[in-house]
Amino acid sequence: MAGVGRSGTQAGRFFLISVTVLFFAVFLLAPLVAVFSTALQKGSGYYLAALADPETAAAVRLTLLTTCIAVPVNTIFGLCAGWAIARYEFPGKTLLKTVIALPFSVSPVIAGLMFILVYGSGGLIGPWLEARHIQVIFAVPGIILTTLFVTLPLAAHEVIAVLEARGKEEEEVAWTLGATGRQIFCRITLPKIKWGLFYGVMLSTARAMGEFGAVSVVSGHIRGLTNTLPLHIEILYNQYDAVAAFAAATLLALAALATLAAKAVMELRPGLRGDRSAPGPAYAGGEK
Amino acid sequence: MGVTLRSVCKSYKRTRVLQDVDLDLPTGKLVALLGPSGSGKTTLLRILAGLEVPDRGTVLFDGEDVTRRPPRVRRAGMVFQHYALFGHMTVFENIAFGLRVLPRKVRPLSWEIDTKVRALMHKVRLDGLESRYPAQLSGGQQQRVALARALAVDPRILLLDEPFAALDAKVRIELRRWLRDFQRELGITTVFVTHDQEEAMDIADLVAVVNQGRIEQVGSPSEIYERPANAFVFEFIGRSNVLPLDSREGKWALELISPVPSKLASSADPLRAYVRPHDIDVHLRRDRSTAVKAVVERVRPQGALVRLVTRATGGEHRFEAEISRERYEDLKVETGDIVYLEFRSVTVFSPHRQVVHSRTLEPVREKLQQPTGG
Amino acid sequence: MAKEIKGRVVLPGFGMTLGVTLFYVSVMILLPFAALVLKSASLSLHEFYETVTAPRVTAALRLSLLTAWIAASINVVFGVPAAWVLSRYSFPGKRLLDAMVDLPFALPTAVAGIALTAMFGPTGGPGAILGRLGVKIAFTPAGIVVALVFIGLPFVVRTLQPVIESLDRRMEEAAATLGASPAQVFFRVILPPLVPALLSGFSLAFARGIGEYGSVVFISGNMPMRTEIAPLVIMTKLQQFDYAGATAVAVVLLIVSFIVLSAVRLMELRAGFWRTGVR
Repeated sequence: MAGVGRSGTQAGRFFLISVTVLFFAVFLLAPLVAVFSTALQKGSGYYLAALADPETAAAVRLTLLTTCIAVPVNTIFGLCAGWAIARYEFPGKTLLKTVIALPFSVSPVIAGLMFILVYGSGGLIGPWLEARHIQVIFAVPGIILTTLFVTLPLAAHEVIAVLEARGKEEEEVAWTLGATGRQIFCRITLPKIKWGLFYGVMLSTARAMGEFGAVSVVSGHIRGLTNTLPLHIEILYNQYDAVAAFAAATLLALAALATLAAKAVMELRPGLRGDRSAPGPAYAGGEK
Repeated sequence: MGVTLRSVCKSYKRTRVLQDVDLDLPTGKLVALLGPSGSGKTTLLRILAGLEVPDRGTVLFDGEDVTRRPPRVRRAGMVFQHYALFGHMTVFENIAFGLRVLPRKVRPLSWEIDTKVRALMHKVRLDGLESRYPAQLSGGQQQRVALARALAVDPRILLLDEPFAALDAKVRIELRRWLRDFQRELGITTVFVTHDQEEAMDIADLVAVVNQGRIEQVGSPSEIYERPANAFVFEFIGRSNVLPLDSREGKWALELISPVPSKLASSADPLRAYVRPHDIDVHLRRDRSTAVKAVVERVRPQGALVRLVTRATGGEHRFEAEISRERYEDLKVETGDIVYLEFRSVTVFSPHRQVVHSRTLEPVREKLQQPTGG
Repeated sequence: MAKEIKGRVVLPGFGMTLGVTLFYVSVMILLPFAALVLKSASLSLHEFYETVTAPRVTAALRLSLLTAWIAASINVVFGVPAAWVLSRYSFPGKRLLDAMVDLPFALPTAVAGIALTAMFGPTGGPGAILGRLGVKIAFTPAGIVVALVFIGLPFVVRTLQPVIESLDRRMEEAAATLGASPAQVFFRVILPPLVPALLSGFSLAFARGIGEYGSVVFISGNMPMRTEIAPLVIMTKLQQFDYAGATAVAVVLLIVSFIVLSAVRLMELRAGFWRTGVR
């Protein structure tokens, strides 16, 4: 493809590729390698023992519980929001899109703060909850709520991106052919967006498992009870048990790698690459 | 099934897309909605499909008001411009879709669906492609899948949005002739949207010329061509030369030629005058006083015809004349030669879109007296 | 009857999906924001001013803004060639590189934080080498920049990529046939349409950088007045149950983000204009 007269000569091309590879190697690959090499520093026996630690196991369980609630809820929300936003015109649509993207632009610490201001003892509905002996902040519900907040836009964004890129003609055809709303959704829309949705779900999962700042604010850091995996990693790290910390971190790193693989698979699907001219990542550019 | 539109209006935000559209589509006819892009023709088609509801006016299917019936129950088969095939379904499943989504009570049995789909595929010449996916088909094949899919539900009316626009020039002509015959065989009232006048004139029984949300004229292709209702239709259909008109002392005159016929002379409105290229006679000598002297700028042989691009002397005005090859061989004109143009028929329109004067050859010529050009 | 909104027939499901969306967004996003706004409105101006001008807070704010700015700039410098290489060239391993761009987004920040600290700390490989040269990264502002470069990288690259892909290559060829040198082609033909996307990527990376917490707290060392970032100040105040103080600092950070992101939005509007001009 590189023809004569293109802006890159062979040397320039080689230089640019080298710069990129080097930059990525230092900033992206090296940290990943560091996670796995440190975790396995003291051998696989130590690695497995670190993972089997009861407190680590409890943190894994809480993280899984949080993820198993946050991801399905946000996926259902994402489908509803995607359908409403990409299929209809209504006043305030742009505003709604902006509001949905808000959690992207809020510092996780501030996100946690906001939930304390709602559900904490001095907060908006905190006293009401307290009177009924419902504890949200410094307890599991708070962790779940902040995780929901942080991962809220991810699935919605992917669904909106695919639906907007693919247009609504196929749904309209199905409608003229006599399909009901449910039939249109199940037979046309869902198959059409499944890879985008799949990536959105994977991304939500990775983020839900890995959320640190926001959860850190609302968790009471009670070991075995309100410690999620990332919080537990912090504790282990601060106790100078780096190998155990990294061992736990490998679990989250694997989830992240699975997400990247999911995206790569999605982009390989025929019919998706061409249609999604700008595979807008959820976090960059808000909405397209 | 006959379809009637009565004073249909449609606006998006503040843009008026359709204004008081009245249209009668007789049963079994192939109707072209012809107009430039943005004229509202696709909106009209979507209103027929039920995908849009007009702001005012009614849509009648065989006298029954369906204006507010959703597309699901309307049984209007729609073929979208880019076909909108279901990419995740095979050709077979695409065509079977409308049958599979029927309520269980009326849904045909599996083998009945199978038989029907196969029969349709045979009809549209897609045999053997059942298990292909849309991405593996050529443009013409995709179009026929979309057509078969729309036909599977036994539609009362068939709607096609720019059905040939996405095809190669050669396939396009072949496929539109085929569609023409196919439609005649089926006998379903069919409406197709196009911006290509040649396409509309070639296959439609009835052409509705749409411009800026209005129907300018409805008629058979020959009516539209022979008796255009207004300047827009005249210019849009076929090739045309605009004649320069000049207002002198409150009278309109065909510049280069003469004062205009007295009938028009007092008109205060700005007028537009046209002549078709094939209504221009080319001579080497001035036979009539009304002839316009011009220089041949280009000679373009086009099959049995030869097109001459000429420029009136003493001006920048160009005329394209179309003469037969025989005539051309008699004249033997070349670039740079002087010729005399005689207009066999001049058509004049006022901006109110009525014909002020049209295609009456002799009166024009009789009253053209003093040549001012040349 | 077909369902309609203002005379337009619409596909079924509008009421239900929009209802669910609005309800969920109200409870999950608007309510927390409302709580923050109410809390900040309850602060007296004096209280607010005292809090945000305390030396430890101003130092932290300054550090956050400065490091986020530097990191975003580094990302722009390396992001342009990276996005260019990923959109224009094909070479073995390109898909892998492209997939890796999203790593900072998918990798939990705490994991990134400890990994970068391990790398650039005195015992890590690159850290030890740099240490021998007298350069300290971990537990200095430089460490914060490193973490923010990691976090911000995908924002710049992923904003630029679609724009580069949409550039008409024939434009470059046309410029070359008109006698432009490769450098002239780059600066006069390629770069101008990229500027809006560059600014947008920069701003997104910057906005993310000033709020980043997880990846920074491990590598920064968190020394008050020197390597303490603004989100950490909020965290500290929260641990002391000083919700008013935390809210004051949070409001400052949110206003900065808001300004930056509004600028992005404006630029995107103009970028739309630019891009249509380009195609």
